[in-house]
Amino acid sequence: MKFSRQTKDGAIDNLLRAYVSRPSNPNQVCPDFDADRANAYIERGLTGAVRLQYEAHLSECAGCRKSVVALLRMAEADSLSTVTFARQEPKITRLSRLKEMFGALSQPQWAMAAAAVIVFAVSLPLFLSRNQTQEARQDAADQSVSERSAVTPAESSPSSTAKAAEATAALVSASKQRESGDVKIDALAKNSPAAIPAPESAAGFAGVVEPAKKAETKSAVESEEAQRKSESVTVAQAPAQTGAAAASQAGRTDADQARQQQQTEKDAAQQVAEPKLAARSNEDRSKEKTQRAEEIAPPPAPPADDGRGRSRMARPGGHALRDSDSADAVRPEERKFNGKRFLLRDGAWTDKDFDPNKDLPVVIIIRDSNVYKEVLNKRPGLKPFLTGFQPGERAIIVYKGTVYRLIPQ
Amino acid sequence: MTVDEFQHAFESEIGELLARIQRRYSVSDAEVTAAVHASAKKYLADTLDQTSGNPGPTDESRKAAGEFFASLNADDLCLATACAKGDDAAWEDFFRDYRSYMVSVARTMTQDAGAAEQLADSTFAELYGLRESGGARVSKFAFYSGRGSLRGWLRAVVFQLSADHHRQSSRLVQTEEPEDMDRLAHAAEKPERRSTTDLDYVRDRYRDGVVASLRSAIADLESRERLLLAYYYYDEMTLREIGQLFDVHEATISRWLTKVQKRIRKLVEKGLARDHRFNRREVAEAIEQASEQLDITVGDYLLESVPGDRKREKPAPSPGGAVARR
Repeated sequence: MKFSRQTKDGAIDNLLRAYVSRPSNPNQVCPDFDADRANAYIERGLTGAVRLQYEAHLSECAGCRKSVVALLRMAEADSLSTVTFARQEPKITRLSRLKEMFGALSQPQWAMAAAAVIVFAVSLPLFLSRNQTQEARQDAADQSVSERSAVTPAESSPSSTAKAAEATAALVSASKQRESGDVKIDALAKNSPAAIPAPESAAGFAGVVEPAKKAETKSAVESEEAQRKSESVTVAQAPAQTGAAAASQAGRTDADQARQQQQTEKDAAQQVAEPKLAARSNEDRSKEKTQRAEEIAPPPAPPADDGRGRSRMARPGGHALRDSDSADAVRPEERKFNGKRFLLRDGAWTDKDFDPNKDLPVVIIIRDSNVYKEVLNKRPGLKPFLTGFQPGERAIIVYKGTVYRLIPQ
Repeated sequence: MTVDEFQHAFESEIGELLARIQRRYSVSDAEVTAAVHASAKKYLADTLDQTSGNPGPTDESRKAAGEFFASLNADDLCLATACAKGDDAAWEDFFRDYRSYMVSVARTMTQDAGAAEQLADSTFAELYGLRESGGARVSKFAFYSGRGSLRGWLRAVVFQLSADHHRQSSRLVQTEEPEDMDRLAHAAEKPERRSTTDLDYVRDRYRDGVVASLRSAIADLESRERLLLAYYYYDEMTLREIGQLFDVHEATISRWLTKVQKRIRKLVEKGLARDHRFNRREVAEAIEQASEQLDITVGDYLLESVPGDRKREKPAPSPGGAVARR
């Protein structure tokens, strides 16, 4: 820092420079120079009256002051060299700290925990949005069922039928909007007059549930017919309706309404009349899955330092997360053993803690081999995992910083 | 105050100090207490004087003593005491820890490896105490008070010995730098250049008035303000260096300098008006002109002309102001 010209008195500064400054004489030493006192002054070891006394002496004794200035400069150079020497050590410690930190992160449990947190953070909003969509669908379905049930007793009252139709149209459009991400269903449902069932329709709803169930087949046939009609009408009208947007929209609404009705009726019919069918289809699906899992050849072990292989390994999960609609289709099956979660990936039950990007030591264990038995003996903690899988299943287990690949014989 | 009185008065503080020492060598409690007493006599004289007449130290004295004891480098003081005593283990440690440092300090001062070794050896001899006083060896370590670090003290000791050696060996050698000689010559020419024109007369009158007022103003400053000016203008220290000595930030030093300059201006203006009967315009012109005539060399240097400095045994300043040591 320089003594600023703006803050100082230029004339007086010049005068002081001219009159006070003098040729330097490095050999000018005060005969009373006290090395101990000078050093204590430089190291700010003097306090109070002792310091003031010494400063008063320095203000008058150019020799002592020269020595103090020289010693101060030497001390500064000395401390600088000490600081630079000392700074090298903190560098090492910082590096070692970083190493320790990253070393700790490179531990599988921390890495997996971090990965799990990241996956959770990414998947949570997607999961929530998916839930919202499902809820919206559910709401729409429920309300359509309630409308249907309200329609049946309201056949005698044409006004309520019209209201129900309006409400259905509003709900259908609202559910569409919600699917497209625009969540305004609540407002729409509130605005629609039939969304809140009238006391009459509410009263009638309880008594009409049973007849409604009985009449489901009939209504399904009717709705199919209505749908066909509306479709044929819209298809027939389409070429001629270039300018009649309102009419086409009405036709589309009718068609959507009919489709919605049909879908809900089908669902209801399936739920009521054919519960066994669903169970059977579920069984078939699971069989297919297991069959597929058995048929799929295990993937070759990715090379340890192959980036492409890693990205390929990481992709399916990401895809499943990104595309929430297809999440059910892509989401792998899951198993739990002793608090560990395993996902069926590429035909192998893969430990959720397994990260292909981590270069952990890999032990390949062929089931029932000597190595298998030896590992079972040495690592009893692995036993529930190794014995938990079926003999034909492959598994990747991360246990105490080592990856164990279980391969069938 | 004797050592026993000192020990009795500050027993607890001495006990704490003794407990702080990590390695005692062969130094006894009494020897450490004696060393601390010697240090206290130097830096705590007022407190000891106050305490000596009373049955016990007052709260104020105890506080001052507490600060003093806390500031002592106990381990360094013990090592120095042990070395002064001639403890082999202490000397071994001292050699190991400070020998190379002392040689490097000596090399910095002498700029010569051979001379540095020689200076370091003579410093060791002083530290060991080759001189005898009353049959007893006098070690330089006896002068270490523990107030600063032993390392810093050694640096100062080497510096002092180096200056002494240089002074002794250069009695017949010109000590001034070439530019000093230039300035001396320039100063010697000065009186001859006096002209008799009216303009020059006014200029000389202004200059003499400003010089006298400036000298008076500097003499009126407080010692700390003078020291500040001396550090900045005389010793050409940087603001940061001055800040280190005063234990304040360099910006504070800058503010202090501005303040001192304002004070000097006021004093100079007052002096010119009072002592030289200058009116306001003349005062302004005199300061302005004098500040522009930077080649003017004053009869002697202002900082050497302050009363306190005259007490010292210094060679009389030459007309040019340079001190010729021959």
